[in-house]
Amino acid sequence: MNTKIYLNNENKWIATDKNYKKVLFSNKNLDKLQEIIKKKNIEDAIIMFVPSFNTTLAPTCL
Amino acid sequence: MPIIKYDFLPDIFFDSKVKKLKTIYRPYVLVKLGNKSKWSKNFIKSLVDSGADYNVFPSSFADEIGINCAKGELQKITGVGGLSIDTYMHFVKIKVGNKEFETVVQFGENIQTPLLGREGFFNYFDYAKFNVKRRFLEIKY
Repeated sequence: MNTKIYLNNENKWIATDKNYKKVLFSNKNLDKLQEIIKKKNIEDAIIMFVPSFNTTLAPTCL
Repeated sequence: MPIIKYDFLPDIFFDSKVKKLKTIYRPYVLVKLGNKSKWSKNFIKSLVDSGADYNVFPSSFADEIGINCAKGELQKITGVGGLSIDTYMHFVKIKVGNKEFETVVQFGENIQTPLLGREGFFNYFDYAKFNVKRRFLEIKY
């Protein structure tokens, strides 16, 4: 998997193909991304958030 | 008993010491959420987080499978920084690989990284093994 697809999508929600090779759609707002992929009738894509490049992740809850 | 193996997936990280973008590998798996007979149409890349008590997902994924998020039981969750946010608990189905199970998910606004936690994910498997050196996760059921 190549991380180049993330470079222009920092802090955005993206939908990629199932090989993580191509960003199909992106949006800062997940609801809006969901609307777009629903309209386009996209199935079995991968939805993910591209975390900030400047921070590490420590999301542990409670 | 089946064992599912997932390679850690790369994210980008800016290393301020050397001022370069580097790759950091994290234990993500792809899941779908379900409610009755309705399933999310796309895979959700979710972080397997042994420190999280429960599964936590953005409320948008609840909407997609016909769940009215605010009708769930309110549960506040707190991250490592001490800030707390409101989430709503719902029973949903999770599909990972060929395994499906009904479990609890906390849905909230502005969740950026979907989390798979101990109660609701890990407890459905015999074990989860993180091999950080070789960058893979193995879960057995």
